[in-house]
Amino acid sequence: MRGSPLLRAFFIIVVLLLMAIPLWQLTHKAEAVMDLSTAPAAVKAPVHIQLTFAHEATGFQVLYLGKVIWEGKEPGLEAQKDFALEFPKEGIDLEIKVEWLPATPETAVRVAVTHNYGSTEQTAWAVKGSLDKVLTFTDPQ
Amino acid sequence: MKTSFIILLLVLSVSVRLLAADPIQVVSFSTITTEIAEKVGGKLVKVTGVVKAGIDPHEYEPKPDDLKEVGSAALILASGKHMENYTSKLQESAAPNTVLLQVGDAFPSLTMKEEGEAAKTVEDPHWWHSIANMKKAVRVVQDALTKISPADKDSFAKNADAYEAQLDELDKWVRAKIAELPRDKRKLVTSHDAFQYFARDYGFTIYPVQGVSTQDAISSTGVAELVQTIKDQHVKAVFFENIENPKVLKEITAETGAKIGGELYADGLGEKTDHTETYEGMIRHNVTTIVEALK
Repeated sequence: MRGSPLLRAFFIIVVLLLMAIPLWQLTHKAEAVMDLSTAPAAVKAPVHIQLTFAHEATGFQVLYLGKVIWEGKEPGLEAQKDFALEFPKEGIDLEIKVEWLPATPETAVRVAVTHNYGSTEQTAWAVKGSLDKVLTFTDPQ
Repeated sequence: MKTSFIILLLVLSVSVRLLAADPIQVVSFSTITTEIAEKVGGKLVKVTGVVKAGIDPHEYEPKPDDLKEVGSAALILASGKHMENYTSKLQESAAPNTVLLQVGDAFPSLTMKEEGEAAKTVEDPHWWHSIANMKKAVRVVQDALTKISPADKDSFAKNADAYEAQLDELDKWVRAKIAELPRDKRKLVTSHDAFQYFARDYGFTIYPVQGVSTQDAISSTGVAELVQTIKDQHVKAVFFENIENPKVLKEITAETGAKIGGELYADGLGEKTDHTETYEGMIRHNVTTIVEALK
């Protein structure tokens, strides 16, 4: 062996450092980051909601994904409105809150949802003049 | 003669009072049934919870001291549906008149195929994740206590009614909270398959790493399939459990980019530190954790 031991050590260190880069890349898998842009974009669709009260209500609220999307006072016996909502094939949940006068006898509200040219409806009964219930509506088609 | 009769009456009266003061001894092998017995029995029962918060009921084996407790119990409560594989030991240690009640066996089970064994199906023992099942369990325990002490029938009924009303309010809150989450995002990736009853009641699909028991083996093929499912279904978060090692889930998040959604209580109640020491606290914690992570 010829040459300075210091020089030989220097070359060995350089070679080892050069090898370390591809080795590190091979053994350390980059942490995946979910690309939310590849998730199917939520599409809003026209949805018609109709409320039919068995007795005149004093007020109501309709919540979608935890937010009030419709509310009204003294709506009479019927109320209806058009919305643009995401409606996945698994369906949607609507939380329906209705208040009647305390003296109102046993009463109910019928909720009809029209989407994709089809309609589904459900009836929810009040307890002591008050109703707060989550109803699930699947795609009527 | 008259004096003797009065003394006899007094002695009888005192004895009856003393007997009435003795609470019914209940030994419970599930944190869930411990709470039910305490709620329904009130001051008329003394409940010894053998399986405590943080203990894995799938792996628990009773110790000699536990079996001594069983020997003095009037009622032994287990969650049932094959969760406790040591019930024969409890029966052997119990007094002849002691009632051993496997609460979950009183109502229908969800079943699922065991991984690797095509023809074998197993019962899901985690019935308490359905509040509807919990209400049935309350009535099962009420009936058992009433049979042991018919004189206290009205007290047990009153306590059970109050607890059921609390469970109804809780169910209402759960439904409103879960309604904040779109139905197409209700996909739950958990350490082991403990949330089938919850999924059935609230419209979720479960993708577990392990089977219904924490003792089930984790297969590499299963993990690879799960990783692909999380990517295909765009699942935003996965959840670990309070008594499980979250290592595998951490690896899955690294592969998929999904985040760790938080800790769920799958096999029973938790500790006071995070308010999961009650059934209501546990359910509120699990539901809030799931909804906030998957939104």
